[in-house]
Amino acid sequence: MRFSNNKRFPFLVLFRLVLVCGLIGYQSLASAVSEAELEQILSVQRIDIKRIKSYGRSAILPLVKLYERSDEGQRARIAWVFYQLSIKSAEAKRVLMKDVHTRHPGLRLQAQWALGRVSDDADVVQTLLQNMQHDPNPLFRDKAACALASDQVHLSPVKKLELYQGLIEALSDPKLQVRSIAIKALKIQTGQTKGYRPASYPEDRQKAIAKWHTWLQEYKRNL
Amino acid sequence: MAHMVARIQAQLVAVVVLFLLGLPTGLADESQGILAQYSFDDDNIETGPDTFAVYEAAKGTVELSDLYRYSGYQSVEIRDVANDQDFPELQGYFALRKKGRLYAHFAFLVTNPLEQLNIALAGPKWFSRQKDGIAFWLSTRDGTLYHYSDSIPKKLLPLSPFVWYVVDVNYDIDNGRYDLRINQEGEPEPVVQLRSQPNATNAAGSAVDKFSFIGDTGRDVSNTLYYVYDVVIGTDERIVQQPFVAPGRRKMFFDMWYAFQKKAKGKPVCLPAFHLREFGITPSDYPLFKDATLRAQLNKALSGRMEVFQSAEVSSDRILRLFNAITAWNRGCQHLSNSKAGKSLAALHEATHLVPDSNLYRLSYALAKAAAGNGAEAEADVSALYGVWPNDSRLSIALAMIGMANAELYKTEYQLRAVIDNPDLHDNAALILNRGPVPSEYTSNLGSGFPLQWRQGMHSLLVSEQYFMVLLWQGKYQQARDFALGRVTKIDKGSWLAPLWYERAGDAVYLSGDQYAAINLYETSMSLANAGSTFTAKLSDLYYQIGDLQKERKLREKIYGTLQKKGSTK
Repeated sequence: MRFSNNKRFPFLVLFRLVLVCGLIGYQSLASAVSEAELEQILSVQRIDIKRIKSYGRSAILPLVKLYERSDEGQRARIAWVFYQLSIKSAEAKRVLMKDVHTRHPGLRLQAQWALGRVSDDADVVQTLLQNMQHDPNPLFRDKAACALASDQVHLSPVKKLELYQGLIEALSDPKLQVRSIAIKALKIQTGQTKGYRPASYPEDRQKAIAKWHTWLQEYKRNL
Repeated sequence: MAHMVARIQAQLVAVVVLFLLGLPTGLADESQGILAQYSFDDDNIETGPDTFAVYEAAKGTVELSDLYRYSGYQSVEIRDVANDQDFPELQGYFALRKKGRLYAHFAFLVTNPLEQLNIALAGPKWFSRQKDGIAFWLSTRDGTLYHYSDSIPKKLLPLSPFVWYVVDVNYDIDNGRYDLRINQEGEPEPVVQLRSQPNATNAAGSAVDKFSFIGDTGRDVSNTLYYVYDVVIGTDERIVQQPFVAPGRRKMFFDMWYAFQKKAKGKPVCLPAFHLREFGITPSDYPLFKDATLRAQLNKALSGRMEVFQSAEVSSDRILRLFNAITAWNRGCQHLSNSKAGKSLAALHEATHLVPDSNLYRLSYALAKAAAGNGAEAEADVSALYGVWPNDSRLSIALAMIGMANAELYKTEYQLRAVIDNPDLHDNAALILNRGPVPSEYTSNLGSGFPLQWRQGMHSLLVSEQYFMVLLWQGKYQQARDFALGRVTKIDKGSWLAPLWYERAGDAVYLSGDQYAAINLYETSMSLANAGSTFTAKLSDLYYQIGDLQKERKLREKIYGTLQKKGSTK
């Protein structure tokens, strides 16, 4: 899993990725870009993400169209671009959701990570929670948890309630791995574990889960 | 592309500036219970080394402001811009506290409560959500102030714009809990009083060693503009938790004026810089300062610890030129303070030659000329700056210094009066200066059309203002008032000079002690077109002094409206 630990105030992964990948200021009134131009940029192994960012929101729809006529490998690259742009887009979400259950490893990971960056819809969170708990592939489960921990960047406090509810429920999952990644995601989101240890005895786990439920009620009360 | 951040040791600039003004510099005094203290005031500096850093990235800024003040002369203005892929930050440091109690006190004022801002205390793990990361966190959302306690955003109160809020935090580090009290200007009782709140992540023993003021936390949607003042961090509650400011305690623009008068003691000295751009450093230079070596060199230049940079030391010719201009300016100001006019002239001339666009260097060079006895040329230089610094109070102060530098005041007054009473000059000035609103490029516009007359007109204006200042400096308030009102009668009410002279009359009357008469004159000025933001700050101070907080608040909004039109406070 990826963890966030920044020296600047915004400790969310968005900022961490800024440090890793670098950002430029792109203007809201960006010039339009064609599919052909984007295809050209994407044809190079090292994608010129700065250039794509300079187009801003105008790049989204051409990218969606490219996505829909690309193979899995290329779709993974475009999903990565959606991630980098972090612009809410219903169209981007639509196409990414089609691949949220793909067995192609690269595409699956990129789609799961990118979804929270293009949408704050409840079904994105629900889908990722489902993947985290029920996907047969432990890698996909782990990376879904990653996405829930660090990449739901558009969620308001109200919408985060569903995320927290799902993670807290996953603390009771029969699979140890699911319990581990669920508490890791909660720790990243809240900074707390409330004493929950995924491998401890069930009765000890229940006590901590009860604390989480109490916390959740307090969280709900403050909305 | 590199992350656009400039990390500036602003404390060094402040120390240099205060040194040049002859003010004492202070040291950290943990024995007194203070870990860090910033009033961003020219009379009250921060304590401790490496005490704070200013992050100005992309389009956001962190600047000193004398327009919104809580009790002193200046506050810090933090301005964020949405969609610029970064955020500005004021970040301060103090000695690590792992146990015991920590007290934090600060004031803030927002201009638009709907724009997000965040304020935090954090530890060695910076602003992460874990023990020793973020401990105390205030945030605004949809016009409401929240604190993050036990990882839950909890509402505190809806914020009003242009109102000062004073925050006091009593943090029990061992137990990871804090008491929080918030006072609102104009309210006798605290508007928030909470006890024993779990810290941000409910982590006992979460250490702290820094604080931070920013816009939003990463979604890059905030256009916040807010002001921070009087940050005190300490271990002694009695020192940190200061009483709420009552009307009359706040320092006024005129106090600042008189503080400069006292410091000057009749001779010109350099006036302080308020922003890096005054040294010719622009946001497009900031990526270069990602380099630690370059940053260290900048700090050296700003602190006056370097004489000259060699080309081998600095990779960029432009930066070499900027650095050597800064060191030349420091040298020149040092010589000016030590009354070494000749050496001051040489060094400040070098600075203006290296960075001709710097208004700060040009102003300093003009002051050196005055100190060397060349008052006429100094006046001409200052006149050239009026077009680009129309509302900067430093020009008025510089004029006063020039006036006092050249001769004894009564002689100065006599000379100026001779010019004032010259009917030819007066008519030319009236002809040129009554042409309606004056744009910022005033002098160049007139210069192209009326080469001789505009010089005479500008000279007449400057002489009038200088004469007025000299009367004030001598304490001849009634005479100064009469002179200012006399100028008004000779000027078209539609001219930009009319509100200026009403304001000047108000200045004289205020100094004579008649606050209400001063208010009347300022309000008359305000009723005319083109009243500037400095003027409304003075009027705002007066309403505060007489206890009319409602009118004072309305004027803050008016000032903000002025700032929005111009796009900048300076």
